[in-house]
Order: sequence, then C-alpha cells, then structure tokens
Amino acid sequence: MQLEDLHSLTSQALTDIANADSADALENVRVHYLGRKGKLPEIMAGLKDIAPEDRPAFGKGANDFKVQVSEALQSRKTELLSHSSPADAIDVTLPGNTGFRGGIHPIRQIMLRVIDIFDRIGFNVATGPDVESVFNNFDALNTPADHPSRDEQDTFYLSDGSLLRTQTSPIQIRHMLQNPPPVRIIAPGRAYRRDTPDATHSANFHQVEGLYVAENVSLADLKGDLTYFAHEIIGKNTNVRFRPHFFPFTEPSVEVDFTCHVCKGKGCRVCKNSGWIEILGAGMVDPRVFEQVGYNPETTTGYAFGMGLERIAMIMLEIDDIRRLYENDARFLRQFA
Amino acid sequence: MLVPLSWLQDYIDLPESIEELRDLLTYSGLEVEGLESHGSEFEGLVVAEITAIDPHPNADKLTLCTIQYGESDPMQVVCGAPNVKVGLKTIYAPVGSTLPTGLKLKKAKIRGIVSLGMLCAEDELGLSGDHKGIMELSADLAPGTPAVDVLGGPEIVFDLEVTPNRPDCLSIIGVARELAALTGRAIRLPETPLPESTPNGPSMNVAISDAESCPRYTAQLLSGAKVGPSPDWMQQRLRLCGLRPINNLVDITNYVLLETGQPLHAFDRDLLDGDTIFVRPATPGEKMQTLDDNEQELQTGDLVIADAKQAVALAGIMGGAHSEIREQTENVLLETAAFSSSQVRGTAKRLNLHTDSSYRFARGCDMYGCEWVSRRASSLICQLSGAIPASPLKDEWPGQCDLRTLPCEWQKICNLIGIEIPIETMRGYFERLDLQVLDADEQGCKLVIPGFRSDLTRPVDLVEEIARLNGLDKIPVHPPRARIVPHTYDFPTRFFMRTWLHLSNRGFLECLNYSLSSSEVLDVLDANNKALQVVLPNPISQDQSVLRTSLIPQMIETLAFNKAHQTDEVAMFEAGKTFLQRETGVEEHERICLGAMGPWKRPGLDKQRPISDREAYADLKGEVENLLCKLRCEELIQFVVGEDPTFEPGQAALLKLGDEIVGRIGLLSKTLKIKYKLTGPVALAELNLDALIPAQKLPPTMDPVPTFPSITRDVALILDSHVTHQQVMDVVNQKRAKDLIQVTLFDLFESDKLGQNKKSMAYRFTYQNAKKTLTDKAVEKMHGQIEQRLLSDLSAQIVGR
Repeated sequence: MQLEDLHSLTSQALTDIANADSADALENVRVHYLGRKGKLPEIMAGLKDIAPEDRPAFGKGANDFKVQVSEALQSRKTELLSHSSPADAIDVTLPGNTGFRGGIHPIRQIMLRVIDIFDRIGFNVATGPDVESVFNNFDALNTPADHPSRDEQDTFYLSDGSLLRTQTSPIQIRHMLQNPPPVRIIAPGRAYRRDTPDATHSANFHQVEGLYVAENVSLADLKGDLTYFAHEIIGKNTNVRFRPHFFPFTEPSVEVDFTCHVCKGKGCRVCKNSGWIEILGAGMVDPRVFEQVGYNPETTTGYAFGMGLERIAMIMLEIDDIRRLYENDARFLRQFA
Repeated sequence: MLVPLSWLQDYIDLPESIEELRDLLTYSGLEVEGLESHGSEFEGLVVAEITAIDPHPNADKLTLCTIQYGESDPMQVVCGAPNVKVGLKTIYAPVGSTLPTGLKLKKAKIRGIVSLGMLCAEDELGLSGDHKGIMELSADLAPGTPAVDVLGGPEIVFDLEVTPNRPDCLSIIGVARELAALTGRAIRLPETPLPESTPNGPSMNVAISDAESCPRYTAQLLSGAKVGPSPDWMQQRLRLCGLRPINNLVDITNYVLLETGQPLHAFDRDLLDGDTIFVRPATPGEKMQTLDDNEQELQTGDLVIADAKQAVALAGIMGGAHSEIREQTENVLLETAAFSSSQVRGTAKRLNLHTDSSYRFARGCDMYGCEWVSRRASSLICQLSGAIPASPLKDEWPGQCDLRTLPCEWQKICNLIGIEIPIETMRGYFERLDLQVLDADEQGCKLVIPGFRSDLTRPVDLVEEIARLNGLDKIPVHPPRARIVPHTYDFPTRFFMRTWLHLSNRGFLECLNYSLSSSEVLDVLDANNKALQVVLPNPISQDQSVLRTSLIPQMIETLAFNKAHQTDEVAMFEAGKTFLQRETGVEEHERICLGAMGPWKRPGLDKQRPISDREAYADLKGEVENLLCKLRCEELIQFVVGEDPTFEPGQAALLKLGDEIVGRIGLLSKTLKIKYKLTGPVALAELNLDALIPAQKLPPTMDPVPTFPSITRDVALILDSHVTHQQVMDVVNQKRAKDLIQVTLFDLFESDKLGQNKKSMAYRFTYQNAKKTLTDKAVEKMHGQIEQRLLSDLSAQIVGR
C-alpha cells in the first residue's frame, strides 16, 4: 500500500461514516476500519514493505488516518444519538402511573390543622375515652342535676350508668385531675348526642376542646389566642368577635364568630348576610369546675373553648349535608384528597 | 322568643335602625336568630263574607261558597274547610294575589267546578301551623277591609335565642330592659289603673302547703266580666308571637305572659268549689282533666292548685278543663304565682306537657314581680271585659325573703376581662342593669340583685355583665403567650397521626363511620365478638344501637355502598375506636382497618386483566407490611394461617405479636360478597394499633454499608402445593447461614406439568460478608446445606438437579 492508497482509504472511510445511519451500521464501519482485523492493522502490517526512507511519511499518514477516522466516528456517534430514530419514540403524553390516590378525610384534615395551629402556641394533645363517667361529663363541669342535657332524651347512657361523652370537655377534667396547673391542652375526639340525624345533626360527631389554666389568664388572652387561630386557619384578615352566651362550665361564656371567609365580612348567603360565622363556644373556666378538680378557685384562672369539627368542615369546604361526611362515597372523599 | 319591634317600642324609645338593633341585641347576648317582616305579604288579601253555601256536586268534603267583598260581584270559591257557614267573615285571597307562603292564585277547576281564589286558614297566611279550618274573624268587620288592617300592618319581628340563664328575657319587657341597660335609656312600664274593688265583695283564701314549691301565690277575684273577642291590636300581637287568640280573658293572660314573662292563669270562679284555693301536692293516683282534654294521672311529686273538691290546675303548667273560662264566665279568679323551677320541670317532663308557662317556670321566674303582673293583667281585664275587682288582691308569700346581695371586687372583674375599666364606669353599668350599688369604695361594693336576675348568684357572674356592657369588642387581643407549659410528648396521638398520613400517602382514602352500628350487622360481620357487644339501652334507632366491636363490618358496608354507586376500584382505610364489654367495664381500642377492591394497585394500562385472589391479597398484605415497617414493628409480627368467619376459608391470616393476636387480614367470604352485592376479590385487614405501640423498636443505628461484592444462587423448588412460603422460610432460617443476607421469592408457578398438586417456587439467595469477598467454594458450602435441608424437610425437588 502506498501513501496515495492511504489517502483514498481515508476519504472512503469518512464517506462510510457519514453514510452510517444507525449505531449498529456505524459500529460495523468502525470494525471495518479500526477493528482488530480491520484496515488499520492491515496498514500497520504493510509498514514493513515500505521503503525505509518513505516510512516516516507513511507512518504519519497512517496516524492521520487513525485520528481522522476516530474523530469522525465519534462525532457521527454523537450525531446519531441526538437524532434517535422514530422507532424509539414514546408517547410522552400518556398518563403516568400515579397509583391509586388516597387522602385524609375532610374532618380529619380540619382536626389536624386545628391541632397543628394550637401546637405552635404551646398546646399539647390530650385525649380521653369515649365512654365516660357522669362525673367527668356533667358533675365536674358544673351541669345542674336537672339540666336537660342529662336527660335520657339527649344522652346515651350505658347499662352500667356510664355514658357516651356528650362533649370532649371531660378530657379537661381528666387532665386537670392528673396535672397541677398550669395546663395547656388541645383535645380532639368524638362526642355523642341523641340527636335525630338530619342535614345538620348527627348522633356522632367530632369536637376539639382547648384549655389553658394558669395565673392571670383573661378574656383578652382567649381573644388573642383565638385571633391567632382565626388568622392561621382562615387568613390574616380574619376578625374575631365575642358574643355573650351561656355554658354551665364557663363564666363568663361567649360564642365566637369569625369574619365570613366567603364574603370577607360584607355579607353573603353563607353567613346569612351577617358577615360573621359562628365557629366556637368559649369562656373563662367556672370556679366550680376548679373546685371539682382540686384547684384553688381563688387563685386559678383559665379559659376553655370547644368547636365542632363537622360544622367547621361544612362551612369551610361548603358541604351541604353532615351525612355526606359519614357516607364515605369515594367520589366525595376524593374531592378533598 | 319572638319579639315584635312595635311592642318593644311601647316600653323604650328605639331610634336605631333594624340592623343596629340586631347587632345591639346580638352583642348583648340575645342572639338574633331570625328577622321576619310581616304585613307586606298580606297585600291583595281582603276580608270577605260567606253569603251562601252549596254542596259540591262531585265531592262530599268540598263546598261551594259564594262570597262577597267590597264592591265586587259575588264570587264562587270551592272550599274544603269544615267550619264554613253563612255569615262567616274570613280572609279571601282573590285570583292574582299571592299568599305569604308564596302560592300565586289562579283561576282553577276543582273537581270540575270553577273556583275563583281561596278562603284562607292560618297556616296558609303564615300566621301559625293551624289548618283546622278557615280563619274566623270578628263579625263586625266590613267585607273588603284589607287583610293588613286585620292581621297587622308592616311589622318587624325579632327571633331571639335566649340562653337558659336569662329567663327574664323571655318577655318583651325583659328585652326592653336589656336594651335600656345597653343604651342607657329609661324604660316606661304601662300604667295599671284599677277600679276600686266592691266593698265587702266576695274574696278567696289561699292555702299553700309548702313554701319551697310555691313561695308566692296571688289571687285576684274579678267580677262582672263579659267574655268576647279581644281587641284587634292584642290579637295581632299574639299572632305575631305565634299564639292563637281565643277570647279576651285568655288572651289577656297570654298577652301579659309574653309582656312580663310571668305566667298567669284565669279560672272561672263559679266553677270552683268553696272559697279557698289550695296549693298542695297531688294525692297518689289523683286524676285531672287538663285544658288540652287529656286526663293526667298525678303523683305525690306533682303540685296542683285545688278547690275544696278537686285539682283544678297543674301548678305552673296547665289549667284544668273543669274550671276553664267559658263564653258565659262572669267571675274570674286570676292567679299570678311563683313555683319552684325544678318542681315544674319534673312534672312537665314526666307528663310530657310543655307549655309557655312551664317553659318559663322551669327556667325560673321572679316572685318579687307577681303583684305588679297581677295588677297589670287585672287592669287589662277591667278595661277590656268590663269587670271590676271583687276584693283586694290576696297575696300569700310564705317564701318572702330579702333580695340577694353580692360582694364585688372591682380589680378582679378587670383582671378576668383583661382590660382596665374605671370604677365609676363599672358602677354606672351596674346601675343601668338595675343592680343597686351599696358601700362602694376603691376595693369594691355590695350589690343588691333585682328579683328578675335569678342568674346572678356569685361574684363571678358579675364579670359578664361588666364585660358586655363595656363591649366585648373592646377586649384587647393579647398575643399568644410563649410556651410556658412543658409537656411530655403526646406519643400515642402522634403514632396514630403517622398511620393516617402514611396510609393516605400510600393511596388509601380515609373514611369515617359512626361509632355506633347494629347487632344485626355486627353479629354477622364480627361474629367472634358477639358476646362482647356494648348495647345502648336508649338508642335513637336500631341501626345505631351497638358500639362497634370492629371496624371491618362498616368497611364492608362502605365498599358495598361505593360498589352500588359505580365505584369498582377503591382502597380505603378507617382509623378509630372499637369497644368491647368486659366484666370490668368497656374496653376501648384504637384500630386501623384497610379495605380494597378492584385493580387499585395496577398501572392504568393494566386494569382490564382479571385480578386473582392471590394478587388481591398480596396487594393489601404488602400495604400492611409497609405500615408495620413504618411503625417499626414489622419484624415482630407474624402472619399465620387462620380462620375468620368474615373471610373465605383458606384466605385468611392472623397477625400475631408473640401469642397475642393483633390483627387479621383476608378476602371477604363468597357468601358475604353475595349478600353485599360485591364482586371480585375484596381484601380486608384490621390492626390493633394500641397493641403495636409497645412493640415499636427504637429508631435504628447504622449498619456498615457493604463494601465487598455479594454472590447469588437461584433455586427452583418443586413442592407439594400445600407447602407454604413460610414453611420454606422456616426451613431456611432453621440454621441460617451467617452470610446469607437475603432470600427472595421471584417466581411461583402452578401447573399439572409439574405433577399432580405440585408447584414450583423459585428463590434467589444472596450471600455477602462484611469483611471479605466470598469465594465460590464458601458459598457452595453454605448453600449446599440449605438445599439439603429443603430437599429432606419439605420433600422438595430442585429443578435441574
């Protein structure tokens, strides 16, 4: 082989490389020219037949061949990769494998949010049994002996005289009986009342109870903490208003309204044009409750509040019927997942 | 409590707008639950007179009434009321008018006869729920008079929610008094002129057996009354408050009850025996006919008003039929008394007899006010029925005592509200509330509580009065205080929360069912715990009468509900309590339940292929394993073959923690699937979460990450089909080689080609040593021993050997 042959071989190789239209074809070209049994070893083997004075020039030519072909192969390879053939294409708009989508129940979502918000201002979660004593559920909460809520009409009693708690407030009593002041708890749970089920009543529902007992707690603290809660759960521009009310276990007692989240207080269908939505009941713990749990009613002060989670879920998520929350229709639940 | 605005205005000037009044009342604690405007809806309705009545040719219960009103020609109206009679004046809604209920009247044919408009009953006018017959108006009304003039002009009625501690606000004057305190204005009480009583006229004695149940009883004898309809203005007000006018005497007692909150009762004196009124306990078995025409059987705990012969009224609840005011009544005995609230509440509840009177007595009334109320009612009776007092008021007051006084400390009030209020201001608030301030100094004062404020019994009760008169909106907003109460970590709650979040992230929809179910459901779906059910003695309905013993039954119902609503593919969980009746009481357990059906774990393009029982089970079991892993107790829990009546035989496993059963998993039985109209495999699992808490391992410490390569060996075993995976693993683990780090099942194949009742299970064994590269020879030795044991202990064959 002469130097001229080497030149024509180089241009032939470069043409072959340019014509290779797949990775496999390109590999065949590489093997043909640079492979172990390819052209390059052949060239090198022919070196010995070249006149000694021509050897340096031929050697350089052989090296140029190698370099040029290698570079051309490399660049053609990159080129081929960047233009993958239609056979490899996928429909990238096909749906992904999401798996089945789950989610937390709307009531539970609200419960977790409420707990989380109060957790951030120092409230710890406390719980208690659903089956309670008359003492914890009524007596210790200063409910008069002939108060209608104690009636069998309103409360589920068990045959042993215990009852299904009508509120989460007995958790307060349990906690205070076991811990000296100060206490600060948030207590979620189920409660039961003998209400005939309809769009807004359920015999079984969820409440969250809050209790803060220390020295010098005032209505202003209650308002402050509930305002924080309102800001966190609804939004910064939410206002809190107190209306006097009556509960046996708090004195004074208030009902607490938040600015309507739909109309921002302007008045709409959801808030019945008042601009306010009733969210919870609250008040300063009645001294008689402190007496029942062995706290000194003269020096102890505290506030308590309670809210119905179904009610809040219904208001915030605009759910029309409380029974939807217990029907467990996947088409309903998935909307909140 | 319905409060017409114009009635309120009799006692106090109210220049405020309706909205301002609504806010004022609401902020003071009398929440305005509703605001109705009356009057405008009567537009177009008129008074008409029935001039002729003919039978309807096609219907026995209908009549053809010819009516006349104003200038009109006679009209024919088909009417179904039983009380039609010629000459009756009633409200007529002509064609084209709209009833308050929203019904627009059109010319209609009723059973083939043309009817022009309608004669109205009270319910059709939105006045009451009464549909006994068309309204009967007073005979002297001129036909054609607009209905507005009869039924009341434009009027605003507030519907107030009165909290149980404020019985004084169950009256118009009480609400006026509240508004007076809030605005600082004065109230005007009506004048109560009373003619002189006849000298030496008849009188009535009062004998009270027990001052506690009846602290005060006043009796006013009035003679010469003429019974007739009460004036229109009184009838209108009664109607606005939801009461039906009856006659002047009865209406006056109702009117004064609404006005003052003090119940009254009027007896026909001539039907009372003897000249003494006895207030005494009922005798056992005593019977009495009440005004509602029911015979009441009384007990010794009940208090009655009696004449010489018999009980004539149930004290504070309802009068007796015997001495009821009649058309011919002339002499009236007017009772204004105070009865113990628990007394009235007890009897009213037992007899299920709830009246405007018992409602107010049950909440407490003002014994100090009886005399004025009696005078007010007597004055109206004299004015409106022509009666005169037969003798001065008889006032028995054995329970008389001084008004209550309360000590008050200014600073304590301010501290509890969280705002500083000047003493003079607080003093002013008390005075506006009719609380008399005595011995005031810088520390505090003594307050005399008026009789109508039965709720103010302790110093703490005064706080709310100051807070609301000062304005609850003025209470400052203290920023939340720093975390000053150190707590221990609320571990169980957080543990449960973690499971909810984990499962929802794994693709389960959380559902919530009632804690109450029925024995009908639980007996079948949780038969094992049938004897441990907590049954409610007083359920509302049978389907919510037993506390649930397991979460699985309602999960089955939930899946069935979804299936019936076109959801074939779903994975759900519920976390909640279950209840078991033990000898020591009710035991509560925190449980978690999983339920799934359909191809919920398959990719979207692979959902059409049928799902085998094995796949459905494995899909759910995998999630139980994931959960156990997340809760760091996977290694301690064993799945053992078990039986459960809910599950198909051979398709159930029990989860065991040591010897304790802490859960179950399986596929719903075929019989139950048919019962609940479910098809395809339905996988269910339930775990006792509280039992898992103690089993939780501590968070792991680091193991060295392997640096030397591992070597794998694959083995395909041919086994009898009854041999379980667990049995294979037990054999492997019997003398587990220390370098065997993993065993995985990677193929399972059942075919007759393998021989009858044979299957093939292929396992991959991975060997690795932390300190050196294993040689083939070393692995061969360990692996050979395992293969040997599998061959001998399980009568296995190894493919290719």
